[in-house]
Amino acid sequence: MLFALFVLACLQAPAIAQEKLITDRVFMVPDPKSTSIQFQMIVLAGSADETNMSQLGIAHYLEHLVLVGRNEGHAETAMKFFADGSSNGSTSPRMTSYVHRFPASASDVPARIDKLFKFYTERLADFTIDPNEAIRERNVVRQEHDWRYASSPFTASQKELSDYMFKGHPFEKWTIGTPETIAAFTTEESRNFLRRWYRKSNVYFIVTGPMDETLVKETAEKYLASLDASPPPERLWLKQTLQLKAESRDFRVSHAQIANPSVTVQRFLPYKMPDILKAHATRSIIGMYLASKLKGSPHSLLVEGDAPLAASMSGASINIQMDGILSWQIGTIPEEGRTVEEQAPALRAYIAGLGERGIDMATIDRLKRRYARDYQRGLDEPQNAPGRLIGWLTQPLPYEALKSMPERVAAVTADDVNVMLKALVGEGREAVIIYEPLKK
Amino acid sequence: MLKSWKIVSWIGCFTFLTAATPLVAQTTVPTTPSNPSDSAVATYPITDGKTLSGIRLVHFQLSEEKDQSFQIFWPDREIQHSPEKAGSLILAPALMVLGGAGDLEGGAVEEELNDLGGSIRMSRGRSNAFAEIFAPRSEITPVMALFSTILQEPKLSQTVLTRRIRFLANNVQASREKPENFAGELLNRIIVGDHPIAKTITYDPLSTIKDITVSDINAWRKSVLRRGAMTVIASGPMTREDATAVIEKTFAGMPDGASEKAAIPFTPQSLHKTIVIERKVEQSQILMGGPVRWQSGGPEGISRNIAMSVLGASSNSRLFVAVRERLGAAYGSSASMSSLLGADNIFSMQASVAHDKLPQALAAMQSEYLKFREAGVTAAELDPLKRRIANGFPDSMRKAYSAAAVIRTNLINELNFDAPNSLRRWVGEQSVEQINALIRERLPEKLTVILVVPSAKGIDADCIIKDIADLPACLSR
Repeated sequence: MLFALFVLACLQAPAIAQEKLITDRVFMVPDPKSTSIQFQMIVLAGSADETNMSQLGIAHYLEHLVLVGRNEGHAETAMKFFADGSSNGSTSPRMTSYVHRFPASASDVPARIDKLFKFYTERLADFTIDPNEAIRERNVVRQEHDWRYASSPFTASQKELSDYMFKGHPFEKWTIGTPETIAAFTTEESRNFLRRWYRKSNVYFIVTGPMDETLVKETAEKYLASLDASPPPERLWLKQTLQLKAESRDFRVSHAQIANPSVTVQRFLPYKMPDILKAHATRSIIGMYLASKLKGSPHSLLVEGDAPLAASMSGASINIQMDGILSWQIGTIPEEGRTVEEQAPALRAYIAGLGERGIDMATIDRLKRRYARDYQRGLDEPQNAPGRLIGWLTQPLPYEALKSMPERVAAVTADDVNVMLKALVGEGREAVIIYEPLKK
Repeated sequence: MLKSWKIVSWIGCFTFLTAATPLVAQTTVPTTPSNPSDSAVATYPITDGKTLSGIRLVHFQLSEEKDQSFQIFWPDREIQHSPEKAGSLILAPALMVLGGAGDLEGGAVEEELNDLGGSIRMSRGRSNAFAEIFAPRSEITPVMALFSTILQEPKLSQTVLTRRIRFLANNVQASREKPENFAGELLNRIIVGDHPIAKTITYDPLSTIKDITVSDINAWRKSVLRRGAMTVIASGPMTREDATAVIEKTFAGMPDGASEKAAIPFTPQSLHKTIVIERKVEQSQILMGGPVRWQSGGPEGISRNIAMSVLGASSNSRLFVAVRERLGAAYGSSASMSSLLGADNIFSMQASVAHDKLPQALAAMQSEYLKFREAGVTAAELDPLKRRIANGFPDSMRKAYSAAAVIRTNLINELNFDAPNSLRRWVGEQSVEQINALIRERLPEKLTVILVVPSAKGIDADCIIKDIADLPACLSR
């Protein structure tokens, strides 16, 4: 009883977020013990916000141009701002991110913070680049495409899968674009994207490290105050949903680079989410269960059961793809002597069985304790704060709700879990992905 | 949440024993630090000594940390003497951890650890075996108890081994199908020659994996995982006394003694040829390399880190500027050294480039290498890198897990236990002259060049090969 009360107290203790919103659009994550300072700018726009399909991938190209472009105001590229540090960028369907890291012991820390706010404030206003450098970088993006995607035996089927699962939704497009759209990139189109989305009201800055908060605040305000505060355009994809009907399609790849055969069933289905945070909290518990080796989990029944179907799970998860669309996917590497054809029916049967029997409250409590501990562990390390914050803001979910997640997970009931589990057997868009080694 | 009464009762015993019995030997006097001046300004309070039962414990207390890390290594040169069992390098530690222990099945062990917030990992290298145990301070005792059970009562499940053998054999074959991996394997084969560690790179023939038995793994466990030559690094909030108590209990049942097999002398091979592999590839692969003897730790290791950073490990590097910035020929390029045995490494440079820019990219990389070997680094390149290394190091010493890993790596590299206290001085002493002397002396004058291209037409190649089987003919030419 005492133990139960203790657990309850732990679960309900308010989580202390380390980040502070120190001024409009600027977060500070104090980390007095760190020897490095990290500066990030997050733009709430990515490939899903692109509208010119003939230059698909322009958001990512723009990220390259911002980081490596020289212009009249900047003789050196942002990638090389700090020879004693590092710089990088990344683009996803939902956001674009820039990061710089340098020693906190540098003698010119205030000047570096000033340089970064000045540089990005200028990028939020306008952008120019030497035309030859823009062409060179277009070639680099093409090489990135070939290195990351064209060389992979999985790419063609993953593109088809993405087209099929997200049919009609901007998420079906690939962030990097295609060889044809990359060849069509123009600086003007990248500038159009920048003007639409790179604006004060649509970015966040996050400064992490042993920094004087007042200095960061004053520097940020000095530069950001002059910027246009008008809101960005409406993000159309946020209002779009998927029109799902009962359908299933096989995606099969045989290639010599595939080591072991695997079968994955993925299904998207409609699911009403009047309380999106509750849905996320419930999903977290179910996701932990599916990925575990607990009694009743996919691993325990399919891999460790009698006459096992699988030699290993290749993954099991549940996700909220967008408001109103739930998805699950579960995959196996077949046991020796079992066929790939046997797997998909068994995986569907597993999900159906789980929907019927549900997860008992003792197991849910066990998973809640793990969640609470891991969440607190994450809070104890300030360097985790930017990632958590970015993951949340780019969903997008309201910042004010972030700190309530531990309480929301602690409040998940067996009913919540079992209602969602029952929904997983519902009809929707399903894909069966089969990878097989091609033996010489 | 522990389901095994055995572990619960064991922990109960342990708690009593800790309270009642002094486990720290009278002889646990820290050994002399490497440099008295470093000791005088020691940033990291690291101590070295032996427990009452003779286990070497290097202890680093991080009072404000909530997590405790224990990292352990044993001398393990078995694989150098039994290369036909190369697959056991991966299979043995995997089976120990994944196969279950005591009365717990494999999955149950993992779930116990998940409840405790801990992790246990084991691995083997060509000269040592390793274990890493990590958990919140409040749970480290039951996690170490679980580790003790894994060491002493592993289930060594035949079913798990059969599956792992299949996965590993398939992975080795599929990996070779990736052009860059194939090129890498070729370079490794050339440099390693017929030394026994070659099998740990090629797993050729596949019987080196497929013939591994539970008995082989059990024999390895009994031969290597012994108390005698074991070194434990404890990092986290536990005091030395508390850490000692946990160690004594965890390893009490292990056999004494140590695996004493000697290292087999290694003479790396060189080949100054251009080899072309014809494959259908999206990008041309360039790989250039050769053998290099260069310590990875201590002052020499810092020089090596700086040299590789300048040549090809950042957006400021020579290769990045030459291949990406000037030519737009590649997304990235790199220069690195990977360890073979002790201080013997393979130095390599690589890039995946557009087919039509292969000649320029290859020429640019060769030219940059020649310039680098001749003129080395500049002061303008060196100073920021010194700042970066000196600045980044304290971050790696502030968390239990990474601090233990740093100390373990130092000890394996035969550095003193308190080497972290010398790092700032070592970095400060780095000079252009000293680094450039090492570059000239250590980096090979000529390199093996391996290109993976759709067609060798127009390339001045010494050999054109399609398969590993063609390599011997190329070597003998």
